[in-house]
Amino acid sequence: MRAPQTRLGEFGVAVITLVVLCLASLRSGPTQPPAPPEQTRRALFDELVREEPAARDRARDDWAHHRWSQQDAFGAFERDRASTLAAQKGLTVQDFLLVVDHGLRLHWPGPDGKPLDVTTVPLKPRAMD
Amino acid sequence: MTLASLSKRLELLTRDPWPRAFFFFALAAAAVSPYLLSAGAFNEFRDAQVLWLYEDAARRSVMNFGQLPLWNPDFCGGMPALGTPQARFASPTFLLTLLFGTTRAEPLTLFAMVTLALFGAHRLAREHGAREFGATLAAPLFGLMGLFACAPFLGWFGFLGFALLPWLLVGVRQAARGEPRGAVLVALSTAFIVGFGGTYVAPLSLVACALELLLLLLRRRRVNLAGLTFAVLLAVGLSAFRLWPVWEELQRGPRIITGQSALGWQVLGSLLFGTWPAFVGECWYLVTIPAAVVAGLALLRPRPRRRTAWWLGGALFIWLWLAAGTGVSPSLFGLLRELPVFSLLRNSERFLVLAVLTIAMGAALALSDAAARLRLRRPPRLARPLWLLCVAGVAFAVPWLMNDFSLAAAKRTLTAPPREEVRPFHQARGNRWAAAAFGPMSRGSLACWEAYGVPQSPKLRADLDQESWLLAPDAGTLAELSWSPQRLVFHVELARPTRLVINQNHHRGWKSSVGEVVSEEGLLAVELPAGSHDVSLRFLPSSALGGISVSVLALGALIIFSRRRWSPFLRIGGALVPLLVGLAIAAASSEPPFPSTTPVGPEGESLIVDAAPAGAKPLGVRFGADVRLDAVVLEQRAVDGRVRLELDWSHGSSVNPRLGVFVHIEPGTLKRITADHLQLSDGLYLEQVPLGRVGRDIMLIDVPSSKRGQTWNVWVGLWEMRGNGDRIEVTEPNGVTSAENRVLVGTLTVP
Repeated sequence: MRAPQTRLGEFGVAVITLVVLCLASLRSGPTQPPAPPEQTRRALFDELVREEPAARDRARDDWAHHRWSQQDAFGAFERDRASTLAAQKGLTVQDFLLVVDHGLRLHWPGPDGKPLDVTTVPLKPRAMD
Repeated sequence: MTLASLSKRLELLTRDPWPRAFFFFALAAAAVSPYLLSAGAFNEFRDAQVLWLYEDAARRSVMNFGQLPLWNPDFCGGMPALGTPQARFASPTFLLTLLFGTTRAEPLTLFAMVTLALFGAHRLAREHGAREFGATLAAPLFGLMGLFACAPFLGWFGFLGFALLPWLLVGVRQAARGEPRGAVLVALSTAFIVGFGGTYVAPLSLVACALELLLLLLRRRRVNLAGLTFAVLLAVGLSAFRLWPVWEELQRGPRIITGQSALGWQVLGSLLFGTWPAFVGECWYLVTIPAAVVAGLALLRPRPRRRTAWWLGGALFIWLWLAAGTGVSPSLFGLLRELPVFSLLRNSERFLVLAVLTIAMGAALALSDAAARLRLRRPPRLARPLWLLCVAGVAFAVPWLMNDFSLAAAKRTLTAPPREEVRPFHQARGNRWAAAAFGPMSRGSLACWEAYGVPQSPKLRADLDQESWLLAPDAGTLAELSWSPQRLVFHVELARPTRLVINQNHHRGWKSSVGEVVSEEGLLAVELPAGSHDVSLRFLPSSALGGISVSVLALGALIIFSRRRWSPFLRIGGALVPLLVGLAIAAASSEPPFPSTTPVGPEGESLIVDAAPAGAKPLGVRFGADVRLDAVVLEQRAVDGRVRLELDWSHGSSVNPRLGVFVHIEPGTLKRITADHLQLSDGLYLEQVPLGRVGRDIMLIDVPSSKRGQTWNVWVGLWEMRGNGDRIEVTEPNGVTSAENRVLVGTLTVP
């Protein structure tokens, strides 16, 4: 015959495990807004890339000696801009970044009429981050 | 009820494993609740996105394609998944990811690891001689420590591997006594730590094990060498599934991230006890002042047992000394960084995890003693106040520690998890700051970040209609039959031989059913003969397959040889077999060597030459550490307006292998441009330059608009970038202007 505290302990462990699993399964976070309609993609693309050349120039200034860091600094700008625009338009950062992907695959030009960069600078992590 | 009877009841209760388990489960659930209550939300932080992506790419490979996640096509243009040191999917918690999805599994993983940490701390305290009561009450001081609270808010789940540390130390102590179960514990916890990934847990655990053994030896305890050898061999064998691929990748692209931790003693207080006002800011290594006070009471133990507490105190001092980094002199951390594996550890404060564990052990002993004093027929005068002080200390510390979880969880920026859609895969330009956006939508993020040099082809593109092509388009036709992360199938009709090129990075682990896998400027390619072929490409690297085989054999050895009836000789032999099999697999591997990665300059220049190039200005500056700066080229190029700086270095036979170069470009009185770097031309360590040759360190510097019209003074020096952080002395400036252990290599007016 097991002691009452043993049975209570077993029961407690089972209940807590169940509660934890239920919370992890059922608690909902922010809801995903619907994806932007296809016909708005071009406008969203233009809006997001409008400042790309200027942002790349700034990144060059900030990381004069390190090309990968220039690309990375631009990436930070792009994410922030996508985040700002997403909040304004009730979309997600993912929506905006996928619109850029869509536009680049269709070879939509940048704001200056020139093609946008579709290559990558191979990873060169900075020794000091 | 008297205090003595209450203490006795608590002692009885904690002796029963189920109420104890209930206590730990309840604590873990309560602490982790801020994360559990937001289980459906996605953490937007930069690093959280990358680490989430590693886990999710593995999940999708298993769930969507039924394939072992050996290759991750979603990041950097493709990288070996098991060889990525920060990925955590190669551990038991991946089951939670498979069952609940990547986002929802994160708080569950946290709950599981915190629970493991609580049980582990209890077990270790028992090993140190604490009674059930003390071990149970003190376990939360480690299990709920600040690191477990804070690491998840940045997505740094790898740090949760520290939850295994007490288990590992218990195993080490048991193995040192010659108990086979200790070897099992060492092997399983090591494999878990290694599989769970991260860059700090494994090396710091190694240091903790070394100190544990050292203390056992100093205390003149018998150490069973055969038992320890058995444990180490099993641990290496069982971890081979991860160690081998990670080792292979770090050979190709070493960890570059480095830096200094010059914390000093004073900072440690705020890291362990938080800053004032309390309860308003998260604290990364929180153990709380009351907990430390309780641990300090262990020094009042009765005389025969007091020695244990003093040994713990000695260990605590060593952890604090290491954590103080290079901010104290002499620096133990600086000394540790002399060792190869530890040379690139930058954050010395991580050693506070070991300090917190030691404090928890001290508190366990103090609580045990307090209870024992009350049990005496004639309790000492201070028995009751001491018991109350100990229990109150823990009772005050635990909610404080739990609050740290709330504070850290509240710092996250939460959003909806990325939308997922299975569709034809393409590489996208990507963005490492929002890396998780791409993989679930069947897109790879070419822009990426890691702490080590992931080999990445410069020819990857983000605008392709088809992710594969024939190098000679007129040689025939190509059709993609199927795409999956680990297997690509094509049909080709070729009138003549050509290369099939795929928009992913090359790796020698790719195997083709037809032709030979080659690198096409870093891209994955297959040299194909003429004819009609179905070409099936699979990613099956020897490192992963060999490593998994060794681990499976080691598991077999663990099951067979951990029983008591085997002699130590047979045990060691049995544990050695999987490793020998691994060596045989490596020797028999038909994989070609990786394509030569002879580092070159930014425009393809050879980096190792006989003498500085013609036109370079001779300098002949000698630094300590047996290094010479032979010459310099400083010019602004007409072609693109960029400034080209070339430093030509040579060294003697006693060069310090921990050096980095610092470059300060000072445009007039404006803020300087720093171009510090670890490798010459971002590809060659100084010590890799052969004796008698010259290593070229070439930098192309864009001229910022704000720094135009200025006279640029360019200062150069050396420092122990992977060591204690000190600058290297300029011993012979040879007439070149020098100050603060740096030399003025040139001046340039930039229009």
